[in-house]
Amino acid sequence: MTEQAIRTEAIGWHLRLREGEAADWDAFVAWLEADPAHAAAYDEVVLADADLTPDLFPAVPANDDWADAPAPRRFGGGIWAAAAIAACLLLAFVALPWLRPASDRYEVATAAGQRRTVPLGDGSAVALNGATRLILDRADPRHAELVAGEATFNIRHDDAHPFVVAAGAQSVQDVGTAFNIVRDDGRLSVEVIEGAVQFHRQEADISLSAGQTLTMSEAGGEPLVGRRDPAIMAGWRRGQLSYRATPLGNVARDLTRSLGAEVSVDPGVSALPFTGSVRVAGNTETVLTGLAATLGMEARRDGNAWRIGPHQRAPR
Amino acid sequence: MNEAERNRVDGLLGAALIAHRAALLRYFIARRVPPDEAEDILQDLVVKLASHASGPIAEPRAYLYRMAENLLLDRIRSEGRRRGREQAWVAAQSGVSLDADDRPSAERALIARERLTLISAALAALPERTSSVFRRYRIDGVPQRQIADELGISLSAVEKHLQKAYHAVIEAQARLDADNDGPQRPRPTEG
Repeated sequence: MTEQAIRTEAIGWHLRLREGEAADWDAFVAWLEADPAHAAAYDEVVLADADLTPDLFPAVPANDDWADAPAPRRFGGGIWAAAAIAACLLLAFVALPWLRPASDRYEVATAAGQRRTVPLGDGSAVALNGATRLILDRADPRHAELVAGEATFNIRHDDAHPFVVAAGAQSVQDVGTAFNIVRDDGRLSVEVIEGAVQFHRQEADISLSAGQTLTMSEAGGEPLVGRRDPAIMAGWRRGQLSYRATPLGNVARDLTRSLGAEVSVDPGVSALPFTGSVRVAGNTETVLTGLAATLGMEARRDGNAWRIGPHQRAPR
Repeated sequence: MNEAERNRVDGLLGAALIAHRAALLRYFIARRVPPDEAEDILQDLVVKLASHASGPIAEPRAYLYRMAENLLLDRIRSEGRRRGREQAWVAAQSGVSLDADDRPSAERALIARERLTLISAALAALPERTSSVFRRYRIDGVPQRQIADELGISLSAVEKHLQKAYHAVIEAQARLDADNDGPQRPRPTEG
């Protein structure tokens, strides 16, 4: 087999394994073992892949053809109308003038289970997970406010105009960056995927670089800085949520955002630390019953609401 | 969480590790890791799991393989760093040197810049549609299925775009390796 053909196979494996299941990995091992050149070709692919960063890509054309990503320029104009038509299949998409009538602020929102990517001009973009509300400002394209939910920011850095995301009394300022923020139920969590950010709260400034995380309760308490593999950050965008010793109650809130079904856990197990990954692609029932089975628990359904908890005694 | 639950949780994790230990070792060997180093990486994996994990794992095998894959990538990249190569890349990329003693020479920095320029040029040379699909997949992290839906094209068409993009990037890197003192990264032998 030619080097070129092997490379094509290696790329194919790289593509498949991103969302691979155990059986895919087994088949991959068999492929590697079939020829020593396969492993070398695969190394080449993952190394090339690891070098790729957003700033190496050409700037996104002003009128690109992503159906759900028109530039949010004019409120009430033709662009919004086109967007609404394009988005109505998948997305609940709300654009409201904010507070002051003359304001240039507007809200972009998603319902639970829905997603949206919004270009911010100059090649920057923000991706909204479900149940998320974000306020943008036409007069100041370098400012956003996360009202609630989860969003991943891919920011083209500009020293003269740093990008700032406000989240209540806190703010996060980019220093050349991709980062994910969650604001949910008084819990704020920042994960830096690439580059660095400056976290600000009252008098305190904390620098975070790629691979660092910050969690805090908005009610008070010290921000807690930790580390996490950037490859598993913002997992909602890949349909794969990864956790290390995360309270099950927090996992349930993440699932609610991603699945569009209200997910909760029994109070008795909501503090139980969960480690592992959950695929949130596909059928909600499959995802939740699978997770519950792994936990040795059960998933109970009530309309669009799901409750995970220890097995209840069988009804008489 | 009470004591009994904790034991059960640790038991599940331990069982997963024991059950998949041989498979993981086999995987490392298949990735051309020498047997003694394979044991080391496996040990790293055990430590990493033990220090962070205290809960059950969904899809334990795929999860373990993915963790193993991350450790392997770290290892392959740190080999490159020992050669000064990745260090220079990091410096050129972020302007930050990880370790003052390892500050890249001007020449290394030059090679690093050249690398980024070449990759960037390779990406810029892609057809617009291919470039958009690649960005959507690799930077935005959107699954292939969703990209296909968004663009109204087939899944295999999406994969073709991605294949084309990866080939272009890898070829740019291979050219650079050939120009700078021969291959410094593992290269496939003709098969």
